[in-house]
Amino acid sequence: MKESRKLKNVALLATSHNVAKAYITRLNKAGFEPNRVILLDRKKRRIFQVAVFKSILKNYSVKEISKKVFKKLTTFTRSNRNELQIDNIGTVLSKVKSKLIQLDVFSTDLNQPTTSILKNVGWNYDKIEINSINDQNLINYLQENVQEDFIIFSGGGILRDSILSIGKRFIHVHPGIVPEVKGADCLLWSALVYEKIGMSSIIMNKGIDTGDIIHTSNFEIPKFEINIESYTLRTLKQTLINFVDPHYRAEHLVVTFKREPNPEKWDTIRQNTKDGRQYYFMHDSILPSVISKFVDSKNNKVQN
Amino acid sequence: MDSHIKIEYYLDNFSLSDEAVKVYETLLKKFELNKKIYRGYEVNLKKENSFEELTKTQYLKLITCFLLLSVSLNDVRYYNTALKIGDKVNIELPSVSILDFYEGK
Repeated sequence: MKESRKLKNVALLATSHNVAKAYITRLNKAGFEPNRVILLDRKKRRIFQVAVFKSILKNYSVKEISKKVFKKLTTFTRSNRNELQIDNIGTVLSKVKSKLIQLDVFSTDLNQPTTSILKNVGWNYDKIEINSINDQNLINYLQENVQEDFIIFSGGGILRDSILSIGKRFIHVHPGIVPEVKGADCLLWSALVYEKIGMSSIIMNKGIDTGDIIHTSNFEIPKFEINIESYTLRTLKQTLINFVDPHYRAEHLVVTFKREPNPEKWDTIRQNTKDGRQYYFMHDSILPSVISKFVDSKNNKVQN
Repeated sequence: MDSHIKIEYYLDNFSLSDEAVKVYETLLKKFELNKKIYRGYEVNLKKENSFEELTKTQYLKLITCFLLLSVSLNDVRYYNTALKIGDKVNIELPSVSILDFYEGK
């Protein structure tokens, strides 16, 4: 069994997001392991479930509620919300997977819980309950229990000044080359404007994607063999954002640590916040042009 | 000297001067964040000093300005936001072959 190198002064903030799952798998494959893993468990979901349960019991006896209905009403996950809007997602994902494997960017099947992935790689973790990524609970935990100076951020919201100012350095992989491409939907904007996938690892500050730059990478846009006439814009966009982007972020994170595993030795470059452009969520009318860049030219007609 | 910026002036007098482009860029950011534009802002454009939102006609003028900027500055972000303003005021913009904007960089 391959022995992993501990990233001694590094902790990973893991969530239920696909980015976290890709990070864990890819780091493990490259032989790296953060010194500490902190798994964030959102309280809100359970509060929702308890609220629904109480409301149902107010009006019905347990015997009156069919098991199927009960399960449907009390189960709420982020992946369920995506899947409700996607048809034939399995076919798209298998095509995406085979191409990403061919390009040696694929980390793991992302349709499994983060806890399963942690179990598969054999990493221990601390689990803490939070309401949000800026929860005081999390801030207290990081200050009182986490000795590591560097924390890999894997998503879950925008970090506010309250957590960014506790003295830890948060490492983030942004799906665009900064400062040129900052903001939202940057995987898509990079593909459209620069005809490539760009990734930047940065030390976060309170600006949006304005932190000191650790390293940047460019990748060729993968061309997937999918018949895009069979899918909606929404399906295709969600596939790119949730099932392609995380693998590239993970690959870039590994490259960042391979260059120098000790973050204290990193030479970072300060950004001029006035440079570059801030992008916003892409309007649906522009999506077909971008999606066409991710497919073989013979499959190029997107339905709206 | 005026203590505030009247947005109407910039809607009625399109310009590519540095000052005007700075105003348009700020309006783009404000619309993206707040989904509305007011008729007047403080000189530094950080805060509105009018509680009146643009009228539909004024939003259409803003769309026109953004489309002109998109082409002049080769900046698809203005077209992107113009589309969203179009959704707000129920106007469908002409579709554009976005790939014509970029010849690859």
